[in-house]
Amino acid sequence: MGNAHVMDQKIENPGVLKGSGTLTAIFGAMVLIGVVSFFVLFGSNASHAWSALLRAHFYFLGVSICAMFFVVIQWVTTSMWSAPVRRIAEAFTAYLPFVLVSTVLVFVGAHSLFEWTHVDHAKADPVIAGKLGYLNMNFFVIRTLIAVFGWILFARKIVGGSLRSDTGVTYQPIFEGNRKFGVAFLAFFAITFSMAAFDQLMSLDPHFFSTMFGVYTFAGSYQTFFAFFAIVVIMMKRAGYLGKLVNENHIHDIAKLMFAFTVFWAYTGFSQYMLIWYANLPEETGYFLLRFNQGWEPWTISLFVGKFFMPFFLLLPRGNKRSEEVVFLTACWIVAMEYFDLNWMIQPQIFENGPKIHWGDVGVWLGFLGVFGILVSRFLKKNNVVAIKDPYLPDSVFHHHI
Amino acid sequence: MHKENKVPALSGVVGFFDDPQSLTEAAAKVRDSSYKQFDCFTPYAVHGLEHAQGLPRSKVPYVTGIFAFTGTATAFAWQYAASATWWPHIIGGKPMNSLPAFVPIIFELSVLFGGIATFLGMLAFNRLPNLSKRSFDPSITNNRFAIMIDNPNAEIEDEEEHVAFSPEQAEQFLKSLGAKDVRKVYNEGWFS
Repeated sequence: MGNAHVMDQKIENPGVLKGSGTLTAIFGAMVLIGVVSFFVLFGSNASHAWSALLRAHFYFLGVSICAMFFVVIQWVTTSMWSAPVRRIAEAFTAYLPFVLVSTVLVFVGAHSLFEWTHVDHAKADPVIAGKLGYLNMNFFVIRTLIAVFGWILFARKIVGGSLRSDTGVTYQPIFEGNRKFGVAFLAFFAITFSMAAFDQLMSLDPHFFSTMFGVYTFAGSYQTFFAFFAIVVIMMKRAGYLGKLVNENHIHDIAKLMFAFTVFWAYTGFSQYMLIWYANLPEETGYFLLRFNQGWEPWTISLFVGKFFMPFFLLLPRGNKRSEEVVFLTACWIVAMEYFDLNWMIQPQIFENGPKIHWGDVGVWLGFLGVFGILVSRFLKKNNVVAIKDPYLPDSVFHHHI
Repeated sequence: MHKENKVPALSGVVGFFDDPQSLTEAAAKVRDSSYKQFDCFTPYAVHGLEHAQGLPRSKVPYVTGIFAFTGTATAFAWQYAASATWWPHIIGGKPMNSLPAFVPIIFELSVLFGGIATFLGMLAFNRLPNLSKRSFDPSITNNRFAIMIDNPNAEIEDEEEHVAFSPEQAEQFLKSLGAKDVRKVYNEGWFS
């Protein structure tokens, strides 16, 4: 009887994303800009072009696999609040097959990026020579491909289960299967994502090592995923697809998670920095010495201010977390800051004497954003934008915070 | 009877409801009525009731925030004073004022101050601990829901300052909202 009024209200299926040529055209133009930018950069400096590609590649790898992580967390924790927005995160995993393509491009450019691929030079350096058992091209290719194929297969299974539930088949087996595979994915993700961060970002400086590096990269990527998630959910709500299903409490929840991982990013970043600063070991301090010298110091400080302090204080008041405008703008800011963060991780290892920002750097990122947009909108044009048969949906639509 | 043969003051009028839904609907009507002082009693947290009651937002987060930032400032000031002015020692070749080394304690003290202030602020805003008032009926901690309309004159000694309040009218009002049972509540024990 208590929920009688809730059940009385019918939930309308908003259906699939209506095809809009403009959207595809915009994303297509972005891809074109990306390709042109890459070749322009390539013409002036091959390392610069490959570093721009690696940065954009890792950016969207992080966003899409963290979307998968988020989806799996919702299944494993039997989460109710996220029922009307989970499908949007599932749509982000449609980008994962392209990660395979961009990974192959990173393999192609590896020689311009990674010092350890120059085997003769590496053998002469005793520190790198000791790591060649792990840092060699064959093993790098094999383990990276295993990770990416694993992610794609898990996404097909788990997101596929969610899509199958829309047809109205019995929900229980899908639910149980997704929980079982979800737990397996979480373990696989923890290992493979740390590995990807170690291999593709940390090994740019083969002398350096930090056990915090994987979790630091994850924290930044997950924070950025929530930013993309908030942007797309708010845009879909404004466009009328989620208008009746998503209320300010859902926006509040997404903003809370974005806030939480803003803090978590600062926590991991500072933990990594402080232990290295305190222990003062030569093989570790090189990484931060480089980033506090050669013109990188302002960048390092602005990164900490921009990626932690600004979103922290913007998202601290409750009213801001419930305001679509503030959440949207903060999310856009975080999207930009992740780019600065990845640049801060990559560029000091590629160039001497400070940051080198070319318009092509942004162009290559836009190209990847275009691919991301095309794949995600294609997913949403084929499938319902809401998991309409999710048994938690009716409760979640009237989701309410005290 | 009492020593001074005085009638105990009427605290208010209570109406009992069987389910949270009818309680929430009734609370919204009491909120919009002329009875300004009332409270709801439920055996568990009922979602949406705070809107029906017209309660303002809790002030506890502000207490937490103010004390957390006080903790931040205290921890920095204390460590700076201790390691850079009172007992300056060079440790590990680090400068006297080593902010990175201070940060863990700054963080911990912010959390400690914020956490304790949250707990104490919650108690203060809820006027707890409360040893003088008892539950007026055991069923409100078990299976029933209640709205109590307070007697606005209960605390006012001077009869000339009393405002108009008829317990019988309040009882009728609660009954009209669907209360299954209505009672008067007195300061010392309750009597029907």
